[in-house]
Amino acid sequence: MKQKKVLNVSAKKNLILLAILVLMLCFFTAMNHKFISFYNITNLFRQSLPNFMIGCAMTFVISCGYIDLSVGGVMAMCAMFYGYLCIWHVNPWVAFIPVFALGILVGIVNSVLSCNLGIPAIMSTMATWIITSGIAMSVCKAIPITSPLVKPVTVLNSMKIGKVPLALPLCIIVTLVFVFLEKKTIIGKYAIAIGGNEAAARYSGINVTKMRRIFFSLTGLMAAFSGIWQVGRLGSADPTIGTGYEFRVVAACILGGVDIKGGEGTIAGVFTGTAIMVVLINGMLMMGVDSFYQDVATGIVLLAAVMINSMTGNRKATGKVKKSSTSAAS
Amino acid sequence: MKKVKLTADSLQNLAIFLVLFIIFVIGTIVEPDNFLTGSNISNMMVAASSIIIVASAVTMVLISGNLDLSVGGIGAMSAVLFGLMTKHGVAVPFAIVITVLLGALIGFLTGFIITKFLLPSFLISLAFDYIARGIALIGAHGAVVFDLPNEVTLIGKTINGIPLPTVYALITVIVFIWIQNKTVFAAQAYSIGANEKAAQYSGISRLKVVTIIFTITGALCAFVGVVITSRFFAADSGILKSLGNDCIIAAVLGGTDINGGRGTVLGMLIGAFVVTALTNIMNMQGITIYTQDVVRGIVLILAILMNNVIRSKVKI
Amino acid sequence: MNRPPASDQKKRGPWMSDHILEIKNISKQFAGVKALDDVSLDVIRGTCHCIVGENGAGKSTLIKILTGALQRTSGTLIYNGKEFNPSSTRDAMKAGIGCLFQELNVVEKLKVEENICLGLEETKGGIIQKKTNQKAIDMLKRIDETIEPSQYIEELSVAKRQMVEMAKALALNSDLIIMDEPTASLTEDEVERLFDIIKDLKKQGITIIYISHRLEEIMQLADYVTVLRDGKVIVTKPGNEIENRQELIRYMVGKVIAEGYVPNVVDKNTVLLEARHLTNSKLSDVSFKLYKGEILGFYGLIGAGKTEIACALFGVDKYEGEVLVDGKPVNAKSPQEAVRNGLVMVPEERRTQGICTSLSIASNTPMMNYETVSSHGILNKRKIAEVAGSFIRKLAISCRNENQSVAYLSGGNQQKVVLSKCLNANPRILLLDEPTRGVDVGAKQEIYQIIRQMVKSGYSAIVLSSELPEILGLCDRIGLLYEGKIVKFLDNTSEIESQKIMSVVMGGEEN
Repeated sequence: MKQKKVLNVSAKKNLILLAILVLMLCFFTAMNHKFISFYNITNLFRQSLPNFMIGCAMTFVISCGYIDLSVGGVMAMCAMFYGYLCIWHVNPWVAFIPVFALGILVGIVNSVLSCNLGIPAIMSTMATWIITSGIAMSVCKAIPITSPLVKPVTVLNSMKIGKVPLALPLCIIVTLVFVFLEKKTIIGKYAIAIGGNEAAARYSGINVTKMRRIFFSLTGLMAAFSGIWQVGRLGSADPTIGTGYEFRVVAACILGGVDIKGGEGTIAGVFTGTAIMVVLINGMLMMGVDSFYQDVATGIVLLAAVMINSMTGNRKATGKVKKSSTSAAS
Repeated sequence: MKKVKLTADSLQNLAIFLVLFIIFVIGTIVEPDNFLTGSNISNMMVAASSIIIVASAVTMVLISGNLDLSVGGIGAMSAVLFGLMTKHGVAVPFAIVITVLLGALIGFLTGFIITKFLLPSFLISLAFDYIARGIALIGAHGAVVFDLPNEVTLIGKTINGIPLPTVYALITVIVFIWIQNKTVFAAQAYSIGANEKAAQYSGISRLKVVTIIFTITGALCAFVGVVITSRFFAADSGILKSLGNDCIIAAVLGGTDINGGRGTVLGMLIGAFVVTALTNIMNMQGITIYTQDVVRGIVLILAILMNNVIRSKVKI
Repeated sequence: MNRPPASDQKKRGPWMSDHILEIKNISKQFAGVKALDDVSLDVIRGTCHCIVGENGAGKSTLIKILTGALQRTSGTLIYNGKEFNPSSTRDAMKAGIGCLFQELNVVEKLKVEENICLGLEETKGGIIQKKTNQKAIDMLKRIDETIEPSQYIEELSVAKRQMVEMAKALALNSDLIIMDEPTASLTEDEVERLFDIIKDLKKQGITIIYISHRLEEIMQLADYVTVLRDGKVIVTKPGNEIENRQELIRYMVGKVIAEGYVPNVVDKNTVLLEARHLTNSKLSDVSFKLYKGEILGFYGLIGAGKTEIACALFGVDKYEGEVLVDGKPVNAKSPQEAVRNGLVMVPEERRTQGICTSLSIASNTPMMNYETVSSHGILNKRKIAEVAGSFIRKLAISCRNENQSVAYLSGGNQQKVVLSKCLNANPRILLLDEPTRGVDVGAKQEIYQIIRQMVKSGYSAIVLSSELPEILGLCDRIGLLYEGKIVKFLDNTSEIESQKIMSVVMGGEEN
């Protein structure tokens, strides 16, 4: 029996996003021919690798019904940790490992606060955001580490594979890995299950807390790598790294079709959503618009996306035959 | 209700008052010469004013089951717009009114979108926070607006040793304690936060109540922005970055339930003093503001946990 | 208990004569209510065993105990020969009981095959192996060949989703599948398909427990029928020994003693409320009049449209049609509007819709109308205490004082708080949706008295209930509902026959 290829709602949304992306590319190219240049596009990936990477991980967190607002702080804290490891003469490549461990640790802390201690995810990740960015600033007293020992990692930024900077293939590889996680492993599947119908997920024996720990660890890990990446771009470990990233990533996820209430979201959609946001910001820059408009634009796009989603929202066919009886005797 | 009833609320207020007392004791021990001085107390009061003014309204937001993360952005936006207006010749009283109205407008939009489209309040208010902050940055070119007319300093000056911001804070908190205790509006906010469906089935309009709360919050943030501009005699686009967090911490410390339906403005007041006193002691001990942030984050977590424990143990 | 004769056993095959489930003397006691009273029955492997009973009979409670959602107060369960004590639905599912409930346990944004093997995937290091889906597809084929495994659940109708759930139960190697009202939203064809599947499952040795109020289906399907009434087993009989629907109804209903019914003084010349052609997704052309001083009742099975009528009148649901109060069109679009026009509603679900459990009695009471406790928007604390106190006295709410939190009051007292809230709004028309559900016997009577008092003072009430004694004890006129339509109106006279009523609300012809 030939299996009909059915485009579900998410796939349709992704196509629309792709169309918007293409439109934007055309528009900005029209505004400034240099926009579509090889240099500019590849540079976009260099600048926005954190957005893509954290966006991928955030997809699972939001899909399972939670949120991680701590990523910006984790980026900063991991960047500083990396800087210190370097000036403590740890091999700049070996240093990646403890930094990754730190990011994952924060993810685990987030999950303990939200799942085990019953603090709503918004509050707990906001608290860890305050704590991690505070740690980042306080350990260096707000002074970036510019020692030459930190420089080796800048090769990430300058390295090219042929003519293409490392960022582009790295971005694609990470995205593909996440697509694999999404489609071929329990990670993607359970994220949707937990966010879509937590009761059903529990009945099926899914360890919801364990899965959420994994999702938070992924965002922590991606944030850790992003922190190091930014050090590579700046050539110094700067404690202001990561500011505003949680907002941009969440906005890109929503734009990419992730339902803020959980239960829906694709890596492909978030990739496109991130691309749209990144193109928008860069396009504005290329048009000579003040960089201060960036957050305003991001905010407006987020509002528009979330309002449109809710208006065209698929009213879920609940499949409820009758109201659930919550009373005792019936 | 004259007799003191042992409710979860009063227990929480008692607990946080105890914490405040302990902090004051610690303060006197570690800084015996500096802590309990008139000028230090006065400094603490001024520092606390911004939080007290805005958190009075944020407490109501939390009680109604929502979050407002836009307060810092609106405050900064208002500071810059006020600075720009007065710098370019707009009469100061008029500029104040317009600024406050603009803050109210953003608050109104936030509340309206949240209730009309049934969207999460943290997300919408976060978006408006960035939008408002962006406007502030655009207006001040990322920096500070100087050369303001002298009349601006009148708003926040210190008269006979009493800083006006503390007067505003006192007035605001008294008004809000009164609102929270005595108005139908506040009672409806409690109901909405406690059980949104039951409030709806009782004929309470969530749209109306929540939109009004957010509008008032926006207006108060705007006013705080104006006052800070007055005291600095400059409109700084980078101010109030931690106002949102501080207001939530103050409210939560004061016993406000992060899920809505419970909390008091009086508790928030004590909570705001706890935060301010703590900050003050840390300042005097030479602890950097960054480490203070770490402490703040930990305090927030502990406060929520403490609230949960008290709520679950006190069964009336 | 009632074992089938040996000849029946031969008919079904030699391997199917044992009991897969033995329910022995199960009782369930809630505060003041005995939901199950010494229930015993045996379920034979490979049969379709139907459980019927009217609302309040205990079917739901029994199922919840079988699936671990509730704990029994006393008695034993023996499943597959071993004692069985599920403490959660997950326990029951692991033991082999597949539960198909009203709340469909499917994840919309996942595919059919993904749902079937949810939690059962064969994984290597978290990576789902290809053969997992094959297993899911095989299960699905056993149930329904027409569902594409790669379809997303959100695209499927309710009927198809149920099939997916059944496939999931198979994937869990369930040998007992419990279906609770599975046909409520299926078309005739889909129902036939379901029956075919049930026959197939039986052939495969799987046992079905089937709960339904659709007697024709029971007659078609049942190998055995157990009738529950008032928490007790009335009879367990082989399906082929039951003559007709009437026999079942006789078992189900028995003699209904409607105590305490006192006719109200109804002014048939004054129509307080009129509903014309109310129609929405659940209601079909509902029209009726409510006279002054009358208690009008609506009776029907769950899902027949009772709550929908109340929600439409109260402005919670949208509808087409008209609602007139005192002859003037009202058509409330929100509860606020409804209250302004003198309509109040005691909602069906007390804890989630009726009261704010974290607030006190005094805070809950004025929620529908603050004007009695305030002036110009400013609360008067003294009045709040007064008003709450007076309702506590009038309605005999058992509590320490008005500042007590409603969370710890009994169901009956909580319902009285909801009533206080409604009465405080100076209503002219009371809508009461299942007003004594979850309320102990003593409080039930008190609430009935309150309603009667209200009506005596000039108001009117509409009581919507699935408990026949309640309707017969309170109402002057009764509207019988079936699938969103009013089938007929009856005056509450001594000639009323509860079995005829039962027949009508179960879809029988009106006579």
